Amino acid sequence: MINPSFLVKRLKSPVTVLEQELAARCAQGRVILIDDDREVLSGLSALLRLKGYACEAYTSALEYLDVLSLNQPQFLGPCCVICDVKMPSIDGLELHQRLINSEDVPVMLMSGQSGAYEVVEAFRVGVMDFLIKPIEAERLFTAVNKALSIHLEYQNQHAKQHDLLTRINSLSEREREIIHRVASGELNREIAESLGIGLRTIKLYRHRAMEKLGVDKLVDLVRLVDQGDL
Amino acid sequence: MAFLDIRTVYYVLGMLYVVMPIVTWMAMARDRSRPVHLWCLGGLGYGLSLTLIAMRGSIPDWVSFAVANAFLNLGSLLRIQAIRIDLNIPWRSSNIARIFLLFMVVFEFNRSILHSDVLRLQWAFSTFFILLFCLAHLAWRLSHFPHSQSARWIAVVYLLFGLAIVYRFVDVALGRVAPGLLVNNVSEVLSLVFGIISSIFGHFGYMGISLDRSIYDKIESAATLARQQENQLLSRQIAQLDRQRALGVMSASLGHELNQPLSAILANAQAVEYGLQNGVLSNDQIKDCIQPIIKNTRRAKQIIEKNHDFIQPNALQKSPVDMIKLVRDTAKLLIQEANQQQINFHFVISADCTKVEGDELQLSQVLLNLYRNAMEAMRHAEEKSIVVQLSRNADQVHLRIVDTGPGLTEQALQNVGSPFFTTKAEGLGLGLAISQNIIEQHHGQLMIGNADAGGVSVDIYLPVLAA
Repeated sequence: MINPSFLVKRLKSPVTVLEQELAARCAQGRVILIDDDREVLSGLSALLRLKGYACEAYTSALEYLDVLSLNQPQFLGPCCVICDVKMPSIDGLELHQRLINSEDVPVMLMSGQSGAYEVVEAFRVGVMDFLIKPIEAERLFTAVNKALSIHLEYQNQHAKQHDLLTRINSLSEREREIIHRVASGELNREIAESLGIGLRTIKLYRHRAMEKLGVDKLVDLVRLVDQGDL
Repeated sequence: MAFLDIRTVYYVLGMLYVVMPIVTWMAMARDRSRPVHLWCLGGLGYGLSLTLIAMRGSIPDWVSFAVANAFLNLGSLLRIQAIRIDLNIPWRSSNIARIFLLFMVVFEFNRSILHSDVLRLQWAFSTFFILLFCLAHLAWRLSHFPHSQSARWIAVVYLLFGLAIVYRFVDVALGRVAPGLLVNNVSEVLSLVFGIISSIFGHFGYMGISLDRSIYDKIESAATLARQQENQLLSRQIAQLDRQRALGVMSASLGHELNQPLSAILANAQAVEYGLQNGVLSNDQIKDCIQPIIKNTRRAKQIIEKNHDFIQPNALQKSPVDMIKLVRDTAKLLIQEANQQQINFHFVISADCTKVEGDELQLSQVLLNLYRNAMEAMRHAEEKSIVVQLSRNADQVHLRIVDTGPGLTEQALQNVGSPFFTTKAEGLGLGLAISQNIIEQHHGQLMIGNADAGGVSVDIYLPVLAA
């Protein structure tokens, strides 16, 4: 299903040189770090920035949620969240709970001391990964890589769906009707008969619609109709 | 009854009632409250009165009649008041005065104005036996109070004495004898005999009450003291236990706390490694990574230090401790329990100087724990005794505690002293661990094994305090 909030995200383009640098990093991936210990934040940021990622560090999950709600325009690129499990006001699992309802950003949790129960619970509710402190660089990079590529997948999926929705919305009432019937297997002749429109008009509508939808063959049209849920 | 000289008997009785109150008063040195004073004064009153009566004929009449009877009456009243105070229902002094006055007025009226021997005598007899019955009744009531059972004797003897006086009264009333004291007949002798008995038993009874009470008080206060001391020790042990439990909790959070600086250190170190490998780090950036490494290492050290302070139990208060006194005193704390379970303590001391330097309270905590273990172990033993040996070799004091219980099994021997290992159903298993810790802090050793003759033997070695 199409994620509505994604549609609301605003993208921006880099202007200054600094912004271009940042945009390049964001294109590789944005990593959001949340931990109540500033030393840990600065250590992990240094490491990730070396790898070329863009890092945003917050000392509390609430801070991050506030920033999210401002909905500022972002550079294009995947992102993921690494959050410490045990924090004073709102812990990692709760953050994940809140994000899951509005974003599809992959959340990874990290902890200096967690029992098996906590880890199992975390995976069960859909946390992407659980990192145990102190975190080895290799493990961190692997996890971030995986999370970002998954998010990239999501983003591409969403882009496609967005595109499809736009295209479908551009169809007129009649065109939609005809496409629907074509996809369900009716011949042009049959459609013309049941709608009471001339055969040539049908063919015209069909051609225009398929052009708008960007498909050539019938089989692609059927697939599209299924996806778009016309 | 020609062989009996009534006058002499009166003297004897008079003497008894003078001497015994004085003896009673002296014997109850610890317990001299108002009732005691009144009781003894009352007795003295009887004594003086009887002596004056004995001297009848040789002294002016008003002395041997009015004064003697006054003393007699007063004596009864004071004694009654003494018992009433003990019962918490004292008469008001005005009431006592009124009764006395009434008695004296009627008595003198009968003697000096009516000149009637019979009336005078019967009035004196009747008031006397009424007061005696009062006394007996009150003493009987007192005997129901805790630790005042000896009052029963007082009640019985004064009841008998009173009855004898009634018999005397009846005799005079029926005209069988001449009205007067100092007559040689059965009823007179009987009343005097019972008078003697009442003096002896009455005073012993009164002393008995005091004895009962003081013994009870002693037991109570000893028990309270023992309980207090034990509470102190127990609360210390509990504080120790609390600390150990909190330590467990602290260890968990210690791990978490340490992981924070460790994460920062690892991340920065690996950043430097990666940066150097791929040549993407400037010197400034390397410095920016090294700084946090140093800072966080120090931070980790602080965290550990903070935790360490917590682990150490309360600092030892070092002072010279006499081990002989300590082992005996600690045993005394348990004397009631030991007696209940019929456990004997045997002390075998073979050294004259057994002083160590340490914390007396903590060491007695250890001893208490070991004694308790021994007592617990001997619960089902036939012969229960704890042998405490104190000896000295060169620079060490050797304390050995052996019980006559069943001893420890192989498995128990291996695990004994480990925290939370216990053979007791309700044990926490920490007593020995704490004891060992305390002895170690005193630079000593605690070892547990089985004794040759069966039972457990605990050996404690402590460095002796150079005199």
